[in-house]
Amino acid sequence: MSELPATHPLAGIGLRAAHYRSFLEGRPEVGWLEVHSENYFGAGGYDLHMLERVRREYPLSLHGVGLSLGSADGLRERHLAKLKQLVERVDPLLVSEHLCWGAWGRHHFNDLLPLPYTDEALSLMVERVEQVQTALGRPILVENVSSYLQYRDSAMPDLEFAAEVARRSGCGILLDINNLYVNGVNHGFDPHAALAALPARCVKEIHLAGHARTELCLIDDHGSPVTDPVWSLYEAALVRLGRVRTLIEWDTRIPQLDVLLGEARKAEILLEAVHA
Amino acid sequence: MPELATLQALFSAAMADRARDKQAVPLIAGDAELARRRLAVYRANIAANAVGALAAIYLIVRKLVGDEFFAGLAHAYCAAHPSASGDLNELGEHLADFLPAFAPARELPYLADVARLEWLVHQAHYAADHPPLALDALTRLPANDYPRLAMKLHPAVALVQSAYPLFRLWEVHQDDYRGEIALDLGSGGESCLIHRPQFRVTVARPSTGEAAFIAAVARGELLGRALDGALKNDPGFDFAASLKTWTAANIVVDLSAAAAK
Repeated sequence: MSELPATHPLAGIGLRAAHYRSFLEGRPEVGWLEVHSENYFGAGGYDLHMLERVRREYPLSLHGVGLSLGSADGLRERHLAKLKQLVERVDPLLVSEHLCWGAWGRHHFNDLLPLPYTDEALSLMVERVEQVQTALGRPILVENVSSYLQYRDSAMPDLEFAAEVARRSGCGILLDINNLYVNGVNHGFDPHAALAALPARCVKEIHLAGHARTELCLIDDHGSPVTDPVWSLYEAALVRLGRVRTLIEWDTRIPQLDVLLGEARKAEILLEAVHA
Repeated sequence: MPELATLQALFSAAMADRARDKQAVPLIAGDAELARRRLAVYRANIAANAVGALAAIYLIVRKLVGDEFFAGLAHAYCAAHPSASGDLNELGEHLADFLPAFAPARELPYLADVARLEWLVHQAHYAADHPPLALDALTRLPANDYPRLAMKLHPAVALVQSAYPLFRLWEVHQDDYRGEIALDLGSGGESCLIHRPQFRVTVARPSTGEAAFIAAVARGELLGRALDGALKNDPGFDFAASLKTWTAANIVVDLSAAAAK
């Protein structure tokens, strides 16, 4: 997991099956790629073939959406075993998951449900992150999730929770700027001020994405361009955190690859403007 | 302050059943009506993720019944067989077995076979890779060993036998299909042979003899016995020609002399 030279482009995009062909026909100019780990849990076939192929040409990040780290009834060992197998197969630059839960008993909701940000949840998350890091034999990153509700019991903001998980477990933070913005609107706080909870050193990756607006709240649907207020928040985050590897995420209504590459170029320009 | 486990149990119950919102609402900050609406946002997201995952697998089932019917089917299925994995690609394994008991689909008895086919196609996409059969595999083995040869099928290979024209149902719903769409559901049963020559999953219509032979090999029968069974079903079965097709299509991937018993 060696660090790349500072001149290497730091803006990447999520690789989705709809764009495989462009990566077979050429080498689209982008700094790195990220995929959802679960889409490559199969034993073989085209997706894994493509993953191994792009891995030879780009730094790769495995981003998990289904481990359900924060479920109080236990770590999903079968899921972790599959992730471990994939990590061993493609030796990614980064491995990340979410600060959330999504399963209870035998039932999996396949969604990123928020945790109450309590001392109990903090201890559980630290223990789980340590278990995963031990199993994988490497540090992971954990991402702040968007949320549409807050629990009465939450005792701290989610970024403070994230910073404390990182401090105690030695993991890194994947700061999702869109989620931070969405939560600021949904729960009525200033996302710029919330950034102050994050020590600069522990943020190893940033996510940027679009969101949808409903009458009730903002929904983090990764289905449109990054909005202006999210770009502004990103610039503020870069000033505070320095040049951090940044990913454009787009998961629904996936556009032509050029649209994603254009968003990544915008991020790259902002990254280059930051004094190292 | 409830423990995390209590909170998650109450929240989960509300996700599975709106009538259980009452117990989850007190966990949430703000007024009760707003809390209920926000729980509903999560419930809707969870349902949409599940329907989307099933729709990505069951393309033909969805085309056959329409979007609205499919969404209803997906909800009923998920209530009976909730997702048990953090990998959504595992959702939907039991749809073919669920369909016969799903009353609204009673008029469409062939739907279960279509679902079985589409699940196996989905599985074939992710099945392990296997190199093709070595060209000299047969010549390496003495001819009098042939009846006692064990054949290995590619991990993606699967067979669905149906009382309905299942291959035709598959064929006319492919995006690249060109031809007549007319389909006679009473035209007799067809089998479908699912395989993956390299990366693209392919569905073929095997003859009666071919289907009987592949089914026998999949059960672990040796070549001699599988051949006898296939010929009994279909006296015209041309084993040499079929083997040539199957090796070229990476369906049969290995031949070996079975251990003497």
